[in-house]
Order: sequence, then C-alpha cells, then structure tokens
Amino acid sequence: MNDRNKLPPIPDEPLPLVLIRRLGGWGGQTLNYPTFSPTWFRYKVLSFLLPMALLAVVFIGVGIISADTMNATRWHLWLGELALNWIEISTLIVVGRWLATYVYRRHWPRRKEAFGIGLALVVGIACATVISENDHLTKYDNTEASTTESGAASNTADKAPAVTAASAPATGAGASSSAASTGESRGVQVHMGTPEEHKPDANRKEGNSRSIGRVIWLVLVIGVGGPLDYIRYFRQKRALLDAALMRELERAKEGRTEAELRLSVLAAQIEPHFLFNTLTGVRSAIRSDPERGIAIIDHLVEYLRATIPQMRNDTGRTHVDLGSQLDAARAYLGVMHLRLPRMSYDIVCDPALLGHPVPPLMLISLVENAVKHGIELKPGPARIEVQARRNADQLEIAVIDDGIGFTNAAAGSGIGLANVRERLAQLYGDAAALSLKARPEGGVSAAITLPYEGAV
Amino acid sequence: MTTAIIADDEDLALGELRAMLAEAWPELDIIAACDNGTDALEAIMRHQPDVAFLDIRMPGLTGLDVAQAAGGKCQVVFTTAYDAHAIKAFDLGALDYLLKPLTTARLDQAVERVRVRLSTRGGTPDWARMVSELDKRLAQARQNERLRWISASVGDTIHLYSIEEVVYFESDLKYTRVVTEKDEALVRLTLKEIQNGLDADQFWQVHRATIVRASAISCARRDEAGGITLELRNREEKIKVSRAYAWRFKGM
Repeated sequence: MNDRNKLPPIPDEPLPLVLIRRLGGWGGQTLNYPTFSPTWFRYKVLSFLLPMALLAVVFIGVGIISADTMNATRWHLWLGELALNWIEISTLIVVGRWLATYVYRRHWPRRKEAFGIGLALVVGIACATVISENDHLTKYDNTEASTTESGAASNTADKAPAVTAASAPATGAGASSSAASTGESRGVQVHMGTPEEHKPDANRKEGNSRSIGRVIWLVLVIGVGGPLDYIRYFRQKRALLDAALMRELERAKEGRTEAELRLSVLAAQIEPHFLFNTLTGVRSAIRSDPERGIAIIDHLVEYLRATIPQMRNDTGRTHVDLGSQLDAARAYLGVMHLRLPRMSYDIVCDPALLGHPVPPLMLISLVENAVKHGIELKPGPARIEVQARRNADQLEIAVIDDGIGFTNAAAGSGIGLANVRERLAQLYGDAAALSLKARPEGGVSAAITLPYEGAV
Repeated sequence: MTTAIIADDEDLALGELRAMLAEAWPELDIIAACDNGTDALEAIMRHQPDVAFLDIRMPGLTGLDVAQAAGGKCQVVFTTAYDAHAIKAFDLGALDYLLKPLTTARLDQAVERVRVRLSTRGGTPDWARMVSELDKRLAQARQNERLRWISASVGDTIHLYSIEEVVYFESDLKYTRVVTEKDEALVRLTLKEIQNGLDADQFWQVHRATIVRASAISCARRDEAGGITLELRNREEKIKVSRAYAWRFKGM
C-alpha cells in the first residue's frame, strides 16, 4: 500500500499512446485500423461481446425473477421475447457492419464505396428492424390469444404492424392489462421499465409507450447500428486523403530543392582543363616572370573563392548581387588574359546596378563558355566583353565574344548553358530568358535577361 | 645534332617546355616554337625536325591534326592538360604524351624514349592508323558523356535545345534534323555522332535514319502489310519503323 502511495502523482496530461491502446481493449484496437476494414470489423465485434454477454445475463436474470409472477405459458412467451430482443440488437451490431466490410474489401472508387457502405449499413438496420417488427407481431397475436380474460380492449388500438413498443404480454405484477406491461417489451427497457399500474386510459398509455419504444430503438440504431462508424469512416477518408496530398506536396518540394542543389553543385564544377593549364602557366612564370605568376595566382584564388561551393558564402542562396558575379567573371578573365595575352576583355556595368540580385554562377558559366568555345580555339587576337545594363523593366547581362562562333560545338555534354536555362526557368518562369546570337562580324553574343527589380 | 619544334598556344607553357627541355636534353636544338597548329605543321614541313612536342588543344589545327598531316616525318610527343585517361590505355608506339604541368622525371623518360627510337631508326610503323586511333579514343572519351543539349543556327540566332525537348532525330546526309514539339532545325552532326551521346533507353532507334524519344511516342500502329508506324504526342507526322527495329514493338 505504502509503495503505491509513494508513486509520483499522475499528471493531468495525455497518457502515452501505447498505454491508451493497451487499456482501450478491443474497442480501442478498432481505432488503429481503417473503419470498415476486416481487422476493424473483427475488433468491433469482439468489443461488443462483453456488453452483449452482460445483456444476456440481465435478460436471464429478469426471466428468472419474473418466473414466479406469471403463469407458465406467459413466462415462456416472455422468455422468447427477451431472446428475440437480444437477437435484434446483435443483428443491429453485426449485419450492417459485416456488409460494409464486404463492400470495403472490394476496393471500389471513392464515391461508389461510400455509397455502398451506406447502403450496407441501411440494410443492416433494416434487417434488425424487420426482426423487431415481426417480433412484435407474433407477440401481438399471442397476446391476443392469451389475454382474452383481461378485457382486451386495449389491444384493439394496435392493429397496425408498425407497432414498435406496444406489445403487451410481459406485464409485471398485476398482469391485469396488456398496456401496463408495454414498457418491458424492449430489451433496454427492461432495465428501466417498472411495471406500470393499470390505468383506465389504456389507449393513450399504449400510444405513449409505443413512441417511447421508437425513440429507444432510434437511439439504439444510432448508437450501435453504425451511423457513428459511417461518420468516422468519412472523416478518416478525408484525413487520409489530406495526408496523402501533404505527402505528395512534401515530396515535390523535396524533389525541387534537391534539383536546385544538384544544379548549383554542377554549376560549380571547375573545368580541370582550366585548372591544370593555369597551374602550368604558374609553374612556368615562377621561373620566367614571377610577377606574372603572382598575378595569376591572385586571380585564380579569387575565382576559386567565387566558384568552389565550400568557399562560397552564397551556397544555398538563390540570389546574390550582380557585383559579386562581375568580380568572379573579372577574376576568371584576368587569369585567362595572363595566360593568353592575345585575349583582351572588358566589363561594363552601371554602378547603380551592382547591388541588383541575380542567380549565382550564371554569368561565370557564360564567360567560361565563350572562352572555351569561342576564344581558346581562335588564332590571333580575341576579345570578350561583359555588359550589364538596364533595358526598361529588364536587366540584361550579355557576354559578347569575337571568337570562332558556336557552330563547331553543335552538341554538348557541358552543363553550362543548359544549366543556366533550366535554372532561369525554375527561378523566374517565363520572365527570364537566355538568348544566343551569332554576331554578323563573327563570334557569339550570349545574354541573360531578368526582370528588373526597381527597389534595389 | 637532334632538332625539334615545339608548339603550344600559351606562351608560358611554351616557355616552360623550352626551359625544361634545355635541362633534360641540353644538346637538343629547338628550331621553331609555334603558338598554333597551322604554324606547327608548316614548321615541320619546312624544317623536317627529328621530334615535335605538340599541345593537343590548339587554335587552328589541333596537335592530333598536325601529327596526322605530318605523316610520320618525325617523332611526336603530345602535351595535354587533361585528356590523359583517354591516352593512357593507348599503345603509344611511335608516339608519347606528357601531362601538363610537366614534371622533370616524366620529361626525362619521354626524352629517353625518343632518343632510343631515333637511334634505332626503325621508322614509324603505320603512323596514320595510330594517330587516327588516338583521335577516335579522345572523341570517344568525350562522347561517353551524355549529351545534354543540341544547338542549331536558325538565321542569326542559335537555338539551344535540351535533349529532353527533342521528339526525334532524323538523318539528313551529313546533317541531322532535330525535331522538337514546337520547331525543328538542322545540326552539323551525323545521326551516329548524336546517337553515341544518347541514352539508349530513352531514345530508341526505330529506323536507320531515325531515333525517337520513347516518351514522345503515343502509339504504334500495324498496317495490313505488317509494317509499323508510330504516332507522336504533339506532332502530326507519323514515323516508320523499319523491320530491323520492329522487335521493340512486338507483343503489342
């Protein structure tokens, strides 16, 4: 005892989920499965076992107690009715749900399934109701036969087959009138129904008890007949659908960010050719022209800082300012100019535009492309110009070269240009574009146009 | 005295080669240093050197072009910054290669080989075949990478198509017609060259002259004669499947 008292007080907060499931018994287990699934059905039926067994015990008890208060014939009838009541409720519980589960297993389309399950439940309820009605009719006939002595006036009111609760026979103590006993014809009423005293106004009384019986039957139908499960089924379907949609959305988002990441990493790939050739130049310059070697290294470092992902402070950002991209291009062109003095370059940009946001690594891709395909393979002097300017509501960044043109690279595995275009489409949709033009005087002009963002 | 010409489009690389050769092979006489392939070929023709050190990637003619045109007139050592993986597997025979940046040890080795070959004077067996083989290898190494885009000139504008846009390729002599959903263009590549860079699961050859993107096919119809034609999504024309490729559509 003491040990138990020493246990920490149980806080007023939700119990652990595992505990709830264990304590919930079969009824709790049903919550773990989709409503109307076969497993759900099994647990649902099991969860009704105990209440129904209790009900049976109560009925038998009532039967035994009432044994000495009525004659043998009536007692048998009375017992029969109790049994029927029990069967009605069992039918109500099982049949509709069993049919619904049958429908569920067909895996019909959503609407059809919902309709089918609804129909199944209605059929189940109808079955139970039909049994209960027949029950009353037989009872009614029997009553007529057996209660002739008690001035059967009251029975005449009840010829209609729809009599729900009005059956007469099982009256309590006095057994004087059929009306007095009506309360007990329903299983549930057994608990509450105290035999009423005989009253002169039997017709009215019987009408009353009939409607009471109907209300109780209705409560039963709603409570155990399945409508609540049907509602849960709908809510569950919607929740599952929502969850599936959310998952889809999440996956799409993940796919997108992954694609973005992949693209920017690819974009940052440094041409091995460029790196090794530059190092060759540096190695030579150390001996022949140390100043030039130092200059190459300075530009190279700046270029690497701007392009190697781990060294960039813009990693993961979709936009950086134009100035930083022009600097990276300048560093790259600086290296190239020192290696190939025949190549000259110029970068022109209105200082007001330097802070304008642009996607990282696009400009450098265009510049690298121009050098690789246009300049490097052109004998004699060559020139590259980078121009950034505002064109009404657009920002245009152009890389113009006078190299050998684009035609000898008619197809490529290079990720440069395709990557630029993909990223533009991803970030701006139709509002941005990459255009390539062969210049009449030779060479290529590659331009990115973006929406100009005036607030900068 | 042994004579040589050296060629590289970058003056620093050229200077480095000259300086290192001066140490590794002091008695070598460098009679010409060129900064492009055309000059290099001219120098070889004029001076008839014993050996040529050629950069592979040069403006004008590439080092390979030069070697091929020179047709075994001299020993050749290629220099390159990156294509090494393609050359490594190659039985070099009369040829050798050096990776840039050069290292003294490797240069010494190459010099030794050239000297031995020059002294035996065995000539250069089947020179042209070797150079063209090397050329092919380099091209292959490049084409093993998947094509990602195709560019084609239409007027003064260069259209850039990503490979996923292309509905089908159709051979047109030395050109290939590239057809997308919206337009089409000619590129200066043979169908074979393009095919090497395509994913064979994604692009199906259905005819000697046609390669179709599988996902662009909407249906295949069999006519009375047993021939198969393909219908495309978003394109009107129908594509003939030749018998040799009909197996793809068997079991339909």
